[in-house]
Amino acid sequence: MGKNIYNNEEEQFSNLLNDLKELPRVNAPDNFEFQLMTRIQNKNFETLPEPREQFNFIKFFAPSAVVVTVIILLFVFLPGNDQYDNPLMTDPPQILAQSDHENVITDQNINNDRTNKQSSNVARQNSSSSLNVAVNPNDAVVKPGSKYPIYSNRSVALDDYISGENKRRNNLQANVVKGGEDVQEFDGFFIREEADKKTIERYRALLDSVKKAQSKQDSLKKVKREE
Amino acid sequence: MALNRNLTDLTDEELIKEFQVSNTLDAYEILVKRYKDPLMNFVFRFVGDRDACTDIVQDTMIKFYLNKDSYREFAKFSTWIYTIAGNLAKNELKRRKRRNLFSIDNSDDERSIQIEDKSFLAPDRSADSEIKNEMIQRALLRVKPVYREVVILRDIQSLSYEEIADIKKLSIGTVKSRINRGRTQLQKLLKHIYNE
Repeated sequence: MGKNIYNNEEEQFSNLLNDLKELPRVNAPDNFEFQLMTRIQNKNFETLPEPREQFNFIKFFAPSAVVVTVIILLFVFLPGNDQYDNPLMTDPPQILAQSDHENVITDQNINNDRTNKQSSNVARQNSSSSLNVAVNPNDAVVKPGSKYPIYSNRSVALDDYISGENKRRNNLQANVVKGGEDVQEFDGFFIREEADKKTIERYRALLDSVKKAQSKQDSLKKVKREE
Repeated sequence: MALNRNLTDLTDEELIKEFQVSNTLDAYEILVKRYKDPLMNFVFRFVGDRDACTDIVQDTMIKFYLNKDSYREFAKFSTWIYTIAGNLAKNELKRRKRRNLFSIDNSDDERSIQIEDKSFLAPDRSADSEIKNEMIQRALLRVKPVYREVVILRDIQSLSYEEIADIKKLSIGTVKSRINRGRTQLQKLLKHIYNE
């Protein structure tokens, strides 16, 4: 057991501490042990009941208040569905073609050349220049007006391709068929180029010389075997 | 080892080991004899009711008897038995608090209300230590239980800070802090005595 040695902290309470020390000792009643041993021998181990957990208003309401506040804040500050459009009630999305300004100018120059050279096909040229085809989600072919930017690297003039008169300079022509938010790329139309006759003859000559060399080698091997 | 010596010569830890291993009831009785009075004093100062404190100490001894195997050798027996008694005493206080929930005079918060104004007492009686002790006990019961318990253990039961820290399962710093706050509350409640 500890000793009552007062340190500096305890000096201010010295009178109180002395009085506490001098408090009369409370002792157990004389029959304490007898009662205890009787209980043990009789196996009377029933002790005082544990106190039930007291309902604590603060413990209950503080978390509840926090939860309610969070729910209210969520309702207040969460973005609503006011801007939601019914897709069935809205117009189909329009085609967006992408290009650059340079290509638009190139298209216009080409069309001008055509009008000069082929005066008889003016009407057809005019129509072909505006035949930049775009496809809606409902597959309706739309003839885009001048308000849509038409860019040649992302589109193609079908009539030019069909007639073989495609004079566009850029090689990366591709169409973009755009419906809604999904971008679907269209690689465009490509014309199969016929092989050059000189190149074919040159490769044939090469193959013939290889075959001749092989036949000579085979004949030499046969002669050696026979010998 | 223990059998070769007189049981009364054994330490508390040796006695409980004897009780655990051999179920020697004599060892148990010796421990009861040693601790019944200190525990009665501790519980009475904490609860303030002699009848209740007798029941609490009886229950403490019953729990000790039933749960002897839960004692571990590395702890001091005194801290173990004081822990049991302290827990039961706190349960009793909770039970009383529930009972007096709607009573007007049930708050044990720190208040500046004096326990007993000495001006109401005759001068010859004011010097009476019995009255003073009664005032101290009443003041003690108005100190918050968390502080009251450590003040009783330290200043009445004279336990060391280490022992109190073991009983309360707190750090020594926390124990010292609580003791200091308890003493301050107590002195404030008894300012009529100590200001003179």
